[in-house]
Amino acid sequence: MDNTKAAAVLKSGVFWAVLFAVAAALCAGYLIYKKTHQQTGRFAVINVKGETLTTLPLGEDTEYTFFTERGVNTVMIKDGKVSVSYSDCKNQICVDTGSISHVGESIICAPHRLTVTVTGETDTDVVVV
Amino acid sequence: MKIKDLTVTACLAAAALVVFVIEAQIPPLGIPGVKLGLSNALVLMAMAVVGRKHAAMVLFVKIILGNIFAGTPASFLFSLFGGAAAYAVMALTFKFFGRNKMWVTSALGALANNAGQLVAALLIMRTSAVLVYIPLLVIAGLAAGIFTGLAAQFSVRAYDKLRR
Repeated sequence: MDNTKAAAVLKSGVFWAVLFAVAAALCAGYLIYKKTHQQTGRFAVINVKGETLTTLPLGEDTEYTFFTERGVNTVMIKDGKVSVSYSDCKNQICVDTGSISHVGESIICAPHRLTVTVTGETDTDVVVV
Repeated sequence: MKIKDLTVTACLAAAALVVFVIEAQIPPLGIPGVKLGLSNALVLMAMAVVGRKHAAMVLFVKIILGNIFAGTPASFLFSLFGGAAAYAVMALTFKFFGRNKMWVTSALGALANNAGQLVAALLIMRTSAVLVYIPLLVIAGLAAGIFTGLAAQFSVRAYDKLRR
């Protein structure tokens, strides 16, 4: 009895439409909350294959080029923001991401296994899986 | 295997491949790394018209050849993880939702696809920084999944009319 009722609910399009809408709204709410409550970061941590290569302060304008096993990435720091200004990877997602400056934001270059993450105080709040 | 099923499967695989390759050429609009995944509509359509086993073949051809034509070793891994997860979820839920609610099957598949790709990203990058993308991936997955599901649904309807 109860099973058929549950199945009927699961089969209804309205149920899924509402569920999907709620899920999307929650995620959108979280993203908006994060956008409005973000802290300005102070360091950019450069990670390759889960290992921290170096930590760069966002305060100084610099440009570093990293030659990893799989390719070249140029990381640029300007006006307290960090971006990947050049990459010889194919998809260019890292370059298209643009510049970031808030704690927790990151740029990912999957082909080269390279990530750039903005942190607050030091690099200790980066969790390596 | 019936000749007709074989032919239809081959046609769908070819179509999926073309859609996949064309989609790979379009620069990402808006959010970097997020795309519609329209080729999945062909996999879903295959499930409806020639069955799950044949749909797996369409997916297999799409992932292998698609990444040879328009991919990188990294994108291959992403496709494989995402595609396998999406296929598993869609194969399990397809019968339950039927042909009139393919958009639900597709949306669940798209979420599984994104979850699979996230696992691939975790394995490749070995950093939890990728987890930041979860909310965005849920929204993008739902939107893209519902759209491609509806596309598949209408295609199946047109296909059924054609066969009559």
